[in-house]
Amino acid sequence: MSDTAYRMTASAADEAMPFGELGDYIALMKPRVMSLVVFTGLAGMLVAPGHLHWLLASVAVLCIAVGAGASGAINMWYDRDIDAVMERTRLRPLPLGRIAPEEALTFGVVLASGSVFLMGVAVNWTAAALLALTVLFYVFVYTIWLKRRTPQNIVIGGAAGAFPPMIGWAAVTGDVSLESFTLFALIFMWTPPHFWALSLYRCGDYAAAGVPMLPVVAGKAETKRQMLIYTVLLVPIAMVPTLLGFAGWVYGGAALVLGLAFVAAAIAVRRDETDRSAKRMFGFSIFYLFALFALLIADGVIGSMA
Amino acid sequence: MAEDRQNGGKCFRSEVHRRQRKKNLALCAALVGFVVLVYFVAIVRMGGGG
Repeated sequence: MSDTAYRMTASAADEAMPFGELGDYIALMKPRVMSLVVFTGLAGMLVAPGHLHWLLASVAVLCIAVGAGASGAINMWYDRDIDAVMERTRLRPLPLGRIAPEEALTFGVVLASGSVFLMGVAVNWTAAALLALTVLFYVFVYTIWLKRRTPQNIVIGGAAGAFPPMIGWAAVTGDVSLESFTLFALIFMWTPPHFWALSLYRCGDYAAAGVPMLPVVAGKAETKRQMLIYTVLLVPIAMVPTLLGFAGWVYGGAALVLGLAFVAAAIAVRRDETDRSAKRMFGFSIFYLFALFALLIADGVIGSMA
Repeated sequence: MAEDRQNGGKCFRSEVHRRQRKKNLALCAALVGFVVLVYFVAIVRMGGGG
């Protein structure tokens, strides 16, 4: 083949075949979501009573991260049509054509299966079953079933994001308990106000994509009202770890202060006609969850050292 | 394939091949990492560390 002919063939192949860079595959795993999942999973492990070898603990964290990333990849495969329409997601690797859809699906399925298998073999099968449940729930219940059908999509679907501390807990103890369910409940109640804050200032995006988020279906006023209800309910739930005795009073006090600040943010959103408070509340909601779980981790580590 | 690689002593590799090679190397590294990880996990579990 001559140089010119080769270059022409190669150039045509470049255009026809979507070969993403390594960064595209990392983007496929939603690294920002993954970081929160890893953090809450790690908190579950550190708060749980018992001991796990550091290598097995690291493998558990890796499996939670990869499982979450795999769910994200499968979600992007299924949602590639609406991702292309929405401003927030149109630069993802699939809408840009940098990764072929079937490749994204294979990538997600292989990683999900691998992470569940490794969790089972290296750590225990309770944690592996919970990880499998998380992936299946996110893909089938949230992405495929609820997301495009009901404004309660992120309320029920939010359970998928709430499982990681339960998985971390199960990695250490080998079971599911009231304490680990409390951590699940905490994230479960936090998810609706967090996502609805985002959807308040992105509702045009969701409407264009045909996703029935609460502000699109029920209006902004009703969304703000429900956000306030969830943030108020979150305050006592965040105190339960202290009441059950697996977190100290420093955590309890901080959880109360942070919870009241979250409620104040929800009130501000309710009074504000612009999107400014909603944006602020979205940012604060991320800080709130990170701070709460950081306090739990600190409490657990200090408690185990004492 | 030889003509793909050689032309006038120079190495020509299209963007597709470059990306594919990078992807294969990353996959290879991931597989080797997985094998090493499973090996050490087995050592820990057999030693009663789990």
